[in-house]
Amino acid sequence: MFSTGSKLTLGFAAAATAGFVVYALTQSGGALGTAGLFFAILALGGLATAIIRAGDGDVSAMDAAAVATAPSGAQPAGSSMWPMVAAIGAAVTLVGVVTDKRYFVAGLAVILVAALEWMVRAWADRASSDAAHNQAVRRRLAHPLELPLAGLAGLAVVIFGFSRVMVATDKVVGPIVFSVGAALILGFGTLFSVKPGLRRSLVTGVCALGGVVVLAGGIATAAVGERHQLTEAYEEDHFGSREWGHRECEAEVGESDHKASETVALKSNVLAEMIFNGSTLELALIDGEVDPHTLTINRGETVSVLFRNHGQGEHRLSVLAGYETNESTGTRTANHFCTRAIPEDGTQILTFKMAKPTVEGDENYTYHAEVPGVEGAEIEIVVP
Amino acid sequence: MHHRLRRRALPFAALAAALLAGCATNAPQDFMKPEGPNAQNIDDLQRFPFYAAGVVGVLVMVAVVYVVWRYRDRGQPIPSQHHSGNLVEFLSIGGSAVLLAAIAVPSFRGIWDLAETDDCKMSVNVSGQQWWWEYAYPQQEGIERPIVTSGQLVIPTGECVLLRITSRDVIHSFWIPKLNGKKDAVPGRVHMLRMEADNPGMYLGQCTEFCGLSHANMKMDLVALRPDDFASWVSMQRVSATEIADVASTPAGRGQEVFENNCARCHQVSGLTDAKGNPQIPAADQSLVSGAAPNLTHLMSRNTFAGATYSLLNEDCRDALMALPPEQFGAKYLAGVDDGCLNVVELKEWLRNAPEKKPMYPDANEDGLGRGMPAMTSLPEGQIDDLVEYLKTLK
Repeated sequence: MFSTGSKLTLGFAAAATAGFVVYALTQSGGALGTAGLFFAILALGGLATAIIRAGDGDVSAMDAAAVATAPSGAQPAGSSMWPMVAAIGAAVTLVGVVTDKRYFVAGLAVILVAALEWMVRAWADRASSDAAHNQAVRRRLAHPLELPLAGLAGLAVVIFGFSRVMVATDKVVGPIVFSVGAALILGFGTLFSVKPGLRRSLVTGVCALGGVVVLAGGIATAAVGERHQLTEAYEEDHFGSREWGHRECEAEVGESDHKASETVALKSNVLAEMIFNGSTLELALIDGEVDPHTLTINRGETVSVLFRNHGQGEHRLSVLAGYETNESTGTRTANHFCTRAIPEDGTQILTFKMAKPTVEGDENYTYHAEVPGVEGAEIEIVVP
Repeated sequence: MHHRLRRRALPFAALAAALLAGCATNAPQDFMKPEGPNAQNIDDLQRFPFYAAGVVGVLVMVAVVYVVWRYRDRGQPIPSQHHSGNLVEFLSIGGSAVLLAAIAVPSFRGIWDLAETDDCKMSVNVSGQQWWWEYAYPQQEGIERPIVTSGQLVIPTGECVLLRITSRDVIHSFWIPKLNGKKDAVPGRVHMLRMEADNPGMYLGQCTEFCGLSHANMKMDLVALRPDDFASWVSMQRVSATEIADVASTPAGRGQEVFENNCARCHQVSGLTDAKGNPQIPAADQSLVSGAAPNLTHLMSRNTFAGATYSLLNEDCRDALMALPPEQFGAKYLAGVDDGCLNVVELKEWLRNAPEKKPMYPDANEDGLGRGMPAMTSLPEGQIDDLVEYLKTLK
C-alpha cells in the first residue's frame, strides 16, 4: 500500500506535524510560523494521499496480483530509513527558516547526509539480486567515509560530555574524579594490551560502558550547570554591568576577587601604571614624562593600565567613563570599568575605552580613575 | 639587427633609469638624507656596512672574473681537485667574523640609542586608523590642557619628542623617513618612537604596513617649528572655534548649519553647541569602526585634508612653503591657509564625494559601522559652497 514516494511524503508530513507542535509550544503560537507549518501539514498530507492513491504513478502498482508476481514487485534488497531521515531534516530546515538559523543549518546537514546515504543505498540495491552482495558493495563504498565521520562525531560527544563534567564538578572533588577516571582508563588500556586474547565482547562492553558513563555524566552535569566558582563572577555582574552602585566596582570584596592578581600576563603592553600607595593614587607612564596627575587617552582607543596595590588590604581600581541618560526613562547610568580587588602588592590590568571626548564642566563627559572606598585616591582622565 | 640592438639596449636603459632615479631632487621621503639625530644614527649605522659590503662585493667580483678568465677552457686537462689550505680557511672565516663583529658593535649601540626614551621631555599620543593619523598632546610642560590634531604632527625643533603609537582598528606603521625608522601601530599596544628634527620644515611620511583599501593614501606630515613658533601653535590650538550666531545671513553661517546637520555626527569642532546650548559631542563611535573622525576645530591651521592625502594649499603655495628657508618657515606655516592659497577645487570634490577621491568603505557593516567618510552627493552645490566658507573660518 505504501509506496516509496508515499513514505517520503508521509515522513515530511509527520515531521511537519512535529515541528508544528514544537513551534506552537515554544514560540507561543507565533502566527507566521504556526500558519506556515499548519499549511505544510495540509499540503504534504494531501500530496501523500494523492501519491498513495496513484501508487507513485506506476499503473502496474495498482494491480496487487501483478505486483506480487512480477519481478519488479519483488521485495527490495532491504528497507531504508533514509527517506524518513531526509524528511525529518527537511522539517527541521523548515522550522529553522521561521525560528533559528542553527536549526536551519542542522536541517540542511541532515538532508545532505540522508541524500548521500540514500543515493549510495539506492545504487547498491541495484548492484545485483543478492542482498548480501549489495550490502557488501555498499559497505565498501560508504565505510571509508562513514566510519571516520562517525568516529569524529562520537569523539565530539565524548569530549563535550567530558567538558560538561569538568565544569560542573567541584574544585575539590574534580581532581579525585579525574584521577580515578584516568587510572581506570590506564588500567583497562594496560589490561587490553597485555591480554590480547580477551574476549572481544568484554572489550566492547567495557568501552561501551565507559562511553555511556561519560555521555550520561555529561547530560546530567549539563543539566546541573557550571560549578559555583565559575558562575560567581557573573552572578556578581562583574563583567557586564554598567549600573552605578554595583558592588563589583566598589570597595566590597567578593568571591570572584580571589587570586585576581595572578591573571596579569607578562606580555601585557600597558600605557601607564596606576599605583595605590595607601592614601593616594599615582600615575607612572611607561617611558617619558607627563603630568603625573592626568592621564590623556584618545577617544575610541582601547587602552590598558596596570594597577598596583601598595596599600594595606584588598583594593580595586575603578574607572568612571561618564554617564548615559536614557531619554525615554530619564534614568542616568554610569559607565564603569574596574579591576577585581587585589591583595597588598598585587597587580591587575584594566583595559577600557572612552568613546567620547572630555567636555570640561559637564559631568557626563568628565572621567577619572579611583580606588573605591579611599577618598582622594583619584586620577583625572582626559580625552581630547 | 634592429631587434638585437633593441634587446641589448633594454638592460642598459633599465640600469640608467635606476641610476637616474637616485638623482631626483624632489624626494621628500629620501631616508638617505637624514634631517634629525635619530635618522642620522640609522644613516651612520648603514653607511659602514654599505661601504664594507661594496668593497667585499667588488673584490669577489674581480676574483671571479680573474678566475673565469685565467682558467677558461682551452682544451687543457682538468687539474687535480683538492681542498684549500688551512690558512685560507682561517683567514676567510676569521676575516668574516671580524667584519661581522665590527658591524655588530655599532649596530647594538644604535639599537639601544634608538630605544632610549628617558631623554625625551615631550610626548605625543599617535593613533592610526583607516586611513588617517591623529595626534593628541597630553598635558605636560608647555601644554596646559591636552590638544588634538590630525594629518600633521607638529613638534618643536631640537628636542626629542616621544611618540606613543597605537591603532584604533588594524595594524598600521608610522614612518617619517628623514627623521627616524618606522614603528608599527598595533591595536591594544603602545609602541614608542623617538622623533627629532634639526631644522624647521615639513617632513613627509607614509604608512608602511598594508592596512586596507586606501593604504597607499595614508600619508602623514611632520611639521617642525622653532620652539617659540611651537609655543604659538600650542596656544592657537587651545582656542575653541567661534560659533556663528546668525546662521542665515552669511555663507559661512549657512555652512555652519550644513556642518552641524551633516558632519558634526562624526567630526568635532570645539565651540559648537546644540539647540540646548550644550557642547556638540560627536558620536563617531556609533558610525565608524575606528570610533573617531578628525577633529576639525583648526582645520585651516594645518595645510592638508583627507588624512594628509590632499593639500589644502594649491600647488604653487605648497611648493613655495616647502621651498622656504627654515628661518621663514614657521611664520608662514602659522599664518595658516588663506583664501588665495586654498585648494578649493579638490576640497569641494572631497566634500561632494569623498570615497571617489580616496577609496574607502563608508557603508555600514553588520554592526552598523563604516570605514571612512561617506559620499554627500545629495548636498546641493550651494551648500557645498557654504560649507567651504564655514571651513575657512576654522583657523
